[in-house]
Amino acid sequence: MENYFLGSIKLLPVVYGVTAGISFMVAGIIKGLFAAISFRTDGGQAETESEG
Amino acid sequence: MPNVDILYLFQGIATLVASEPTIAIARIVLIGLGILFVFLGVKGTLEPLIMIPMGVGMASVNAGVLFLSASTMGTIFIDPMATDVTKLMEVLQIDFLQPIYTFTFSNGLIACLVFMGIGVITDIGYMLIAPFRSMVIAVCAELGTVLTFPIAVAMGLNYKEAASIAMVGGADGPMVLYTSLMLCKDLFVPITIVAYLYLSLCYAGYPYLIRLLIPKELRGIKMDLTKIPNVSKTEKIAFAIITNTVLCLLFPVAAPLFMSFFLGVIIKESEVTRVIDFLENTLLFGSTFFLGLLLGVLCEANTILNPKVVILLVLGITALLLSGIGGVLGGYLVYFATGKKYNPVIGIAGVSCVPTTAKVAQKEVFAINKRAMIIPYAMGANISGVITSAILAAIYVTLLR
Repeated sequence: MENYFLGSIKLLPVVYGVTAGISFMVAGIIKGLFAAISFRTDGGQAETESEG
Repeated sequence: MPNVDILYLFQGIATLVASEPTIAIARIVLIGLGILFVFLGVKGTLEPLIMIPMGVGMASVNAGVLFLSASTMGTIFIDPMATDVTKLMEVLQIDFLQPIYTFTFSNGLIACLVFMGIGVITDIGYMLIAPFRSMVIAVCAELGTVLTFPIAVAMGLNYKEAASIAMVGGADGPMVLYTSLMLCKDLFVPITIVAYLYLSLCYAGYPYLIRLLIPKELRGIKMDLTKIPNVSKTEKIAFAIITNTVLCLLFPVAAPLFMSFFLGVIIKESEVTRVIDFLENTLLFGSTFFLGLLLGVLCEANTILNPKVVILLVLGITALLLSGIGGVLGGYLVYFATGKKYNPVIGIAGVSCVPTTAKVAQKEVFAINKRAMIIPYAMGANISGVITSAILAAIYVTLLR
């Protein structure tokens, strides 16, 4: 029983760590997406400006 | 004229008399509880969409027990234990709710349908306002889901049961249903009932937690709404499809949940109005209605007499309380990290009871400062909470199944 409880305690940082890691990865996807879109928009604008 | 045996005529009463006293008392208590749920649902104290059908189902199934044979008693509502093919084919033709149970409930489909509906009413754009802050809060608000797991093990539950009841901390009904169906079918009825019962009480309980943990002057902090970026439909759809694919790749066991949620989101953003109407109204409300009804019907006296139910009641409230505290701590973390410019009340919205906790946060802030609008940030934390809960459910199911 004690081992069973210790097992659950050991599992705790794994579960929380992986959850946090994947969650921040999702946030990273959003940031990356914004960065890519703004880069493309800026590039587009720069191109338009240089054309002008 | 044939002899008329009154007890044979009124078999609901006859089975009450013939059964063991504990079962008879439990049946009477459950009939009373069912009627109380209907009353509280109609009054609005508990969530009416779930509680009214659940209460009617609970009262009916415990009243409508009859003699199936000379020695056995049962109902013609449902037989959740029928797994043998011949027996299943037989009950499918007799028990009137068995087809819905077998084809939508026991395989987790109903949880996915509800999740699809939640996806279609969710504006993912809120999450894209401040993704990292929202995620910090959401991760902190999973404190109850994580800490309740060892507490449950210490109280005598096995890993699968402990993980299922710990999911109540995520405050997401379909997620609790899905996890408990995947991990411990024996206890999924009491766990899901405990979850929905407590989720209904979030609206009443969390304001007290906010007032207890956050001083008045911090509750009134105004959020800067001018910094909210415009998020285009293309960005929302791109985010939804990329995140869905990545999460399905990482956790195939929870892929049906991720797919259902993000499909709802994409349908909403793609403005296919007829499908949106179908998912938002017919599918979501239809699934929620049958979810409530079947949970009530599954709530027979034998289920509730399981000694683990008391433990589940204690653990359910512990999980929600710890998650609420974790959310507020997350709110404080962001408050300090942003130079005291962030309203810590938003933290409670990290508990993913969409949109209840976000509404609770806004209501509490309005009570102090009528000009403080936090709802876009609160909804961001709320939706992040849904994603974090799904990730946590996927981890538990993958590790413990």
